[in-house]
Formats: sequence, structure tokens, C-alpha cells
Amino acid sequence: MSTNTEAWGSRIGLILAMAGNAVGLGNFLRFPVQAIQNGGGAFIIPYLVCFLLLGIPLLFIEWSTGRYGGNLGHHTTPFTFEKMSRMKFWRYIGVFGIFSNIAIASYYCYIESWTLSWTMHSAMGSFQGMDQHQVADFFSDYLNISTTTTGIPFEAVIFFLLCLFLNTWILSKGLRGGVERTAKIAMPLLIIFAIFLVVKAVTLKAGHQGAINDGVVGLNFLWTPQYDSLANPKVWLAAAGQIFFTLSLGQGSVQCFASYVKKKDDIALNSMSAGWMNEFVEVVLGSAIIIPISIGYLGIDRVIELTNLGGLGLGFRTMPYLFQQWGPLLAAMAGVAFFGLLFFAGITSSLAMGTPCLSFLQDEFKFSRKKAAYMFGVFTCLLGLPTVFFFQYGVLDEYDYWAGTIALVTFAMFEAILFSWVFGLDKGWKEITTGADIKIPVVFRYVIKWVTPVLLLLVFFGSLIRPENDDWTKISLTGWELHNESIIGQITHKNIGPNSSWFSDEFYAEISGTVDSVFIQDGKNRVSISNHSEGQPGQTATYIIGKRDELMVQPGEEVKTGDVIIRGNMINGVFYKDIGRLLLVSLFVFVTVLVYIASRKRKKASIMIGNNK
Amino acid sequence: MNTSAIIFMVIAETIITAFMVYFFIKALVVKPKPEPDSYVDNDDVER
Repeated sequence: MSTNTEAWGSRIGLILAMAGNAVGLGNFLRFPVQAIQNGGGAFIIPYLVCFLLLGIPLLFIEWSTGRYGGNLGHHTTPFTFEKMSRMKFWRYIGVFGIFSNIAIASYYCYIESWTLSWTMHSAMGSFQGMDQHQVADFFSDYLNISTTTTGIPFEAVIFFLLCLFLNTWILSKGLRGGVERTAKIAMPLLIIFAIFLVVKAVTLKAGHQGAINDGVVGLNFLWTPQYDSLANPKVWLAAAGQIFFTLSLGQGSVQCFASYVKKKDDIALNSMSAGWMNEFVEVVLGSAIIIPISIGYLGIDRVIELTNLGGLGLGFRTMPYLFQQWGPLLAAMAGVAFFGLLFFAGITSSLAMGTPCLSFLQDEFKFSRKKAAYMFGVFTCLLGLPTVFFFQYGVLDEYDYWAGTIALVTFAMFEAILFSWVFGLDKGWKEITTGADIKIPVVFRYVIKWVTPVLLLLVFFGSLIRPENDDWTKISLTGWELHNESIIGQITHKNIGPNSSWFSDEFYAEISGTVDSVFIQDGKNRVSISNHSEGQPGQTATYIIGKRDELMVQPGEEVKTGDVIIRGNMINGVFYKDIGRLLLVSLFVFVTVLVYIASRKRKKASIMIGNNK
Repeated sequence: MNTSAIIFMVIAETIITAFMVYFFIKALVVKPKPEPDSYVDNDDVER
């Protein structure tokens, strides 16, 4: 018998927990950046189309799959998928539904810990009196864990562990007492904090408190449609990707939450309520905070430059400085509100990531909730520490690419095929509509059967063979240059550059340019190369020179990509990235073995029950 | 703001807010299913 006796406290609690699962940091930091980079206001067209054709059908599929499995005593995807197909193969596809959650939680908790730390620093006034560069350096110093600007040694590690402990502790309190209670507190607070910031952002006035633009200039920039972008497949892929991330689809956490809903109870209205709440937070609130504020103070050109570095950089390196323009009290309030809402968005998502792991251990290995929670904490910590210590080498990005992007698309593609074509849409539609408190338009029957699986196949194969510069006209039978971010490009380390071996006696320049300077920072010798031409933005690369290394270039010297700049015993970044990949593969194999052991246990138990009869 | 930006923003935000409010209110007011249901907070509430 499973030790799992979890249940939801209330329907609203379930909806808020499910919405909290979906609402994450990406709603505030990723969506506005994606919109700017993919057609401005016109991005909303492919975004809403993808929500209708991918998001809503997958929500129906995942909620109904979860409830179907839960009513058979399975709260995670491996055995639910097996029951839906009667084939062992699907059991191992279901492994993704546990693997992705642990892998994503391991690095997501680290990012979540930044929000916790930045909330504290905002309240303490740590950013007071700093200029823009000092705030940016504060973030770099924080990530460089051996140094600290706050007096707390290893601050990044301590906050990561604190955040992980908090997650583990809440998870140990159970579904109702932990996850649901947190969502009931966090979601309303998140919306209140967001509304406060939206009001401040859109009422910004040029010339007041140092602003150079009105807040609405940012809104205008973000929402002005570039219609030609609609013909670009890159924009549609970006919209589909955003829908995945924002709704936490293809992860296994939605199925797990829904598995605690009884067969006669509604899932259709619940899924719509949670899904549209996420869209409200993302499109209405998320679009009206960082872009209007940053354009208000920095101008459009500078913000375009900053968005190329991603939303995280804009949020953590720039926003604290911008809040300082409002005076000490409002800056502290805005900082606490902004990083507090990011923390609430983060923790409600990471708790959802923990739940499948706990449910699996409770269902299959009879763990108590508390024991399962601490086991999850230990796993996540072991897997997450490399992202903390080797963040600068791209380990977190590696996790995010494989576990947080590719695994989700792959899993969603398989589950859509399983639901519509293996389980069968007749049975599937019955699962979706049983107990429904709303009438689902029958058109979704056809969308779920045909459109969603086809779109997911397109997204998957599009990611596999994505061409360089997203120029899809280059696709031909004779071959084409792949994008660095394509799956094949990533597997073959296309983006690594000249330092492609793990260990080397020489370090090669990764960009062409001029040796700017040789300097000491944080007690380490560094050399900087840049290729900024007058008035034009360019690249700057800074490399650490080890104590026993020999610098082979002088300031002012011109270097080309591939030229030797340092000699010594080098461990290149690709080594750390490959270690990251190896850890992910090991985790997948480990979960697969656990699923195999659990299936053997189930088989033995059923034979014993048969003999006793 | 230019006209096309206002149109896109207002239409998108109105649609999304309207659906969010409609579904959330419907979930709040819809009559619960008879016990035993999935939610334990209302187990001792008479219907």
C-alpha cells in the first residue's frame, strides 16, 4: 500500500497552487524580453495562437492524464503512462516527468535564492548610493562566490542552501499544509506587489526623479507591432517556447497536482482558471514593469542592448539601481516588492517541482512525506551545487538548456501522441469532460488529436535543426549551417569556440580585437580583449590569468580568434559543461533504475496478491 | 503611445483579463460536487 494520503484542502487552493506552479520568474523577466525581440506587439498574435493550440490542449491533456493516474493510485507519470498504453516503453518516457522536475529545481532554487538575497539587500539599503556599474558589479561579485560585498562569506551558497531548506521544509508539511498554504499566501501578495510596481512604472514622468522618458514610452516600445515578424518562423518558435515555460508544461508537475483530484471532480474549469490567471500575470502585469521602468531611466537603445543579455541580467543588475532614483524609502519598498514577487513566483514553482519526486517516493517506496521531502532536498542540493560553484562556466545554462527546454518539448511531444493516438482520443475526451463544470468547445477534440501533436513535432524538429541566424530560407537538401542553440549544435559544442578541449596547455582568444588592459580584480590577474569600434557596441571578453600562467599578449596588441593569449595548465569551460551534462544523464539513468525497481516491486506484489486469492 | 500599440495592448489585455475573471469567478461560485470530493476543507460542511 502507498503511504500517500495527500489531498487538496480546497478548490481555490488547488487553482492557486496550479497557477503558482505556472507563474514563475519568466513571467516578469522572460516574457517582456521575448516580446521585444520577436515583433513587439505583434508577438502577442503567435503567443495567443500558441496558447490556444498548444497551451490549452496540453493543459487539458496534463490535467486529465494526472487525474486518470491518480485514481489508479499513480501520482507520477511513469506508471500512469504505462497504464494508458499497456506498454513498458511509455513507462520510461514517463521518467521525464520526475527527472525534469529534480533537474530544473536544482538550478531554479539557485536563481530563487538570488531573489531572496536581493529582497534582503533592498530592505537593508545595500544598493543605496551605488551607481549603475556598482550595482552590476554587486551581482557579479555575488556570483563569484569566493568574494563577497556584504560581509557574509559564501553568501551565494548560504542563500542557496537556505532557499533549498525552505522548499524542503514546506514540502514536508504536505500538499495541503505546505504547498497549498504557501500558494494561498504567495499568489495574492505577488499580485499586490506587481500592481504597486505597475502603477509606479506607468506613471513615471520624464524629468521627474531622473527619468528621461515617460513610463508609457516603454509600453509603446513593447506593444508597437512589427507585422513583418509574423512571417518569421523564429517568432513562432519563440512564442511556442514561451507558452511551454510559462505554463510549466511538459514537466510532470501539472499531472502530479491533478492526480490528487477525484474522478468525478472538475478539471476543465480548474485548468482554465489556473491557465488564464498565469496569462494575466504574464501579459498584463509582467509586460508593464521592467521594460517601462528601464526605458524610463535608460532609454530605448540601452535597453535593447541590455535585453540581448537576457531578462535575468536586466532584473538583477539594473533594476536595483533604477529603484534608487525614487529615494531611499520608495527604493526599499520597490526593491522588496519586485524581488519579493519574484521570490513568491519562484517558490510556488519550485514547490510544484518537488511534488512529483515526493509522490513517487511515497507511492513506490513507502516513504513518509517528511523523509521523501528531505531526500528531495539532498538530491537537489547535490545536483544544484555545481551550478552554484561553476556558474561562470555555464553549468546553469547547460542544465537550463537540456532539462529546462529540450526535455520539456520532448516530453510534451510524447505525451500528446500518447494521449491522442495510443490511449485514444475517445477515452481521452471522456477523461477531459468527466465532471467538467464548463462545456469545452468540441473543436478542441480535433485540435488535441491533430494540431497539437503536429505543432509539437514541428517545435521539436525545428529545435533540432534550427539554422544559423534563424534564417529558414537556408534550409536545403545540400545542408545548412546550424544555430549554436539547435539541439545538434549543442550536442556538437558548436558554440564552444577555439577552447574546445577539456584540458590544454594554451588558451586561445575567443574573439578578435584589441588587448584592452591587464588588471587585478578580486585578487586575480585578468586580461581584457574588446572589439568596440567608435560609437558601435561590440564584445568584451575578460579572462583570468592563473598564478603559474604566462600571458602571451601585451596591452594594445591586436589578436584574432584562435590566437594563443595565455600559456599554462588550463581547464576549459567545456569541461564543466560536460560534467553538467554527465550529471543530468546520470540523474536520468538513476530515476530510470528507480522506476524499474518500483515496477519489479509492483509485479511481485501483484503476484503475491494473486497467490493469496 | 501610438494607435497600433494602444489597440494591441488594450485588446490583448482585455481578452486575457476577461477570461481570467470569468473562469476564476465561475470556479468560486460553482456548486461543489457531493461528498466525498477531492477537497478536505469542506468535509464537515453540510450541503
